Amino acid sequence: MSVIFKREFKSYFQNVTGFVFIAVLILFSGAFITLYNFKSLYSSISYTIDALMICCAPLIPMLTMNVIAKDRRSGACQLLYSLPLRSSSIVLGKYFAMLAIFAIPTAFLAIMPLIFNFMGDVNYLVSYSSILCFFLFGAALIAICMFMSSLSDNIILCAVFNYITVIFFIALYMAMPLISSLPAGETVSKILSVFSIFGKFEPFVYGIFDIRAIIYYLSVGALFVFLSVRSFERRRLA
Amino acid sequence: MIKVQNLVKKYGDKVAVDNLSFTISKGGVHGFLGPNGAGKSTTMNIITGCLRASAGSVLIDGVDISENPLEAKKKIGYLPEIPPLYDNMTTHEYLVFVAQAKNVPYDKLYRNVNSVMELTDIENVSGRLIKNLSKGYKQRIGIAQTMLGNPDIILLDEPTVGLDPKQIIEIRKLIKKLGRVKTVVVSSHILSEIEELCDDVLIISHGKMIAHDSIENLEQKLGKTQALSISVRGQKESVFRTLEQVRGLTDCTVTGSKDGVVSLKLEHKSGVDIRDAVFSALADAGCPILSMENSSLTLEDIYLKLTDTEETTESPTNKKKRKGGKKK
Repeated sequence: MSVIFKREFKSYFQNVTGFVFIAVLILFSGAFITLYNFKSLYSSISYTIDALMICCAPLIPMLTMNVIAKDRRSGACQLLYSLPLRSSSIVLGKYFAMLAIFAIPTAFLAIMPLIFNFMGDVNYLVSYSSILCFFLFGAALIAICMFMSSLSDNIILCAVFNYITVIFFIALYMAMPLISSLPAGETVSKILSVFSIFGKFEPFVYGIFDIRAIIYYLSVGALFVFLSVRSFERRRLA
Repeated sequence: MIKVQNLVKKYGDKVAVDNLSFTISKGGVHGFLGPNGAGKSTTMNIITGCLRASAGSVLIDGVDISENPLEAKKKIGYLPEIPPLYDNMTTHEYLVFVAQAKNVPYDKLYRNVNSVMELTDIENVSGRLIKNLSKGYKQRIGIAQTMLGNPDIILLDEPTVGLDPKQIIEIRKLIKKLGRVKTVVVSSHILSEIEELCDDVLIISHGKMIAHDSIENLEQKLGKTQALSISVRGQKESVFRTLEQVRGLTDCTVTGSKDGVVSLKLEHKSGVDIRDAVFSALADAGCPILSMENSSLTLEDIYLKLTDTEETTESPTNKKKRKGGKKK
């Protein structure tokens, strides 16, 4: 797995993808930190993260859309299939490489509470639990998008699948308050909240450590990594 | 070394490999011959674990590829039809990556990489990006990666496709060199390539095996008839009429006709020398013979005979369709 991880991680820096992803995410982080923490004087980074989640969602398909399709197109998949490697090791190697890329802007966020401490009191527990939740949110979304990418050999089709998924989650998040206000909307919104990947972060904004969100992101991540392995294996053996 | 038993691969209703069974012994270069779409690549993909068979089994040195794929894959190096390369890596980086993936111990890794680079003569492109290299070099890198980890078996699927004549000669030399130390299986639809490289040949058509033997043995088995190639000055019709009288002649085919000279291939029963009779008959008819030589059965002849036999055993409907097509 480590050999696939190293190759994939390096590959993101052999073109602009890795640099653009990290740069744009840090740029948005900087903008929201300036807005919420420096201008509005919030000591917690949770507000920044809450705003950042919506901005980072459309960036994740940049990493995931061709993670499996590119190997199928170039024929490199046959090399991977003929090597003494398990399908799970190949998929996990690719997944952890994307997580490592995502971890770089997350690490940038992790420095911020330490800087804020020079300007006033910071609740580290709230800040770092929010950062952990943000990272797990990214991990879950990467896993979902990776699974969508494993469904086709066509990179454009994979990109379309990825963006439809992300738009669906954003639209659902935006529509939730509206649905709740409708008659019998409570029940519908409860059912839909299962799919609301963005909504799970809300308690962290109010300084509540919600273990359910952590479990939710971990479960979704694990489920879609498992499905990606199955999809990769199924297409290999078809 | 490789034992394939009752292998079947179906894509929906289409049977790509139909109950294929064969054994490939240790050492040497073994040819895998068949027309396009015969099922060569599918069979190779199943042998290397890239595809799952619908039925049957593949044993690599006694290890079943479907039951213990990791162990079986350690014994195999595979070059698919399109070399599986990462364009954005340098040659050296790519080979180190493959060696690591094949679990080559760290202390032997760079020695192994350097030795395969030396063997395939790609040391001069070690630091260059693969995407900037010629097809010939890419093919060599593809072959180099098959040798990493020192596998006993090397499978090469159409290794010379798309190469220029000079590159083809070099790759063939390399395959011959490999055949001295490893078991090499070369898949190709180029008859001359198989004839030049291989000790024995496995011919498949429509997913079925139609022959598996050394080229010499195939010649002997199918050599019930022998052939005589002649060039005669005269009218095609009168030459034909004259040759009809010759005893022992089983078949007569015109291979060319130019400036009043007709070239023919005369097939006759083995053990019967028809040269005197042919000479006398044509001399009497006033058709001078310009050249005459005994021609032995080439792999091309063997292949055509075998695939013809295969086609004649096909369903009458298919034959009718083909006949209908010819008439048009």
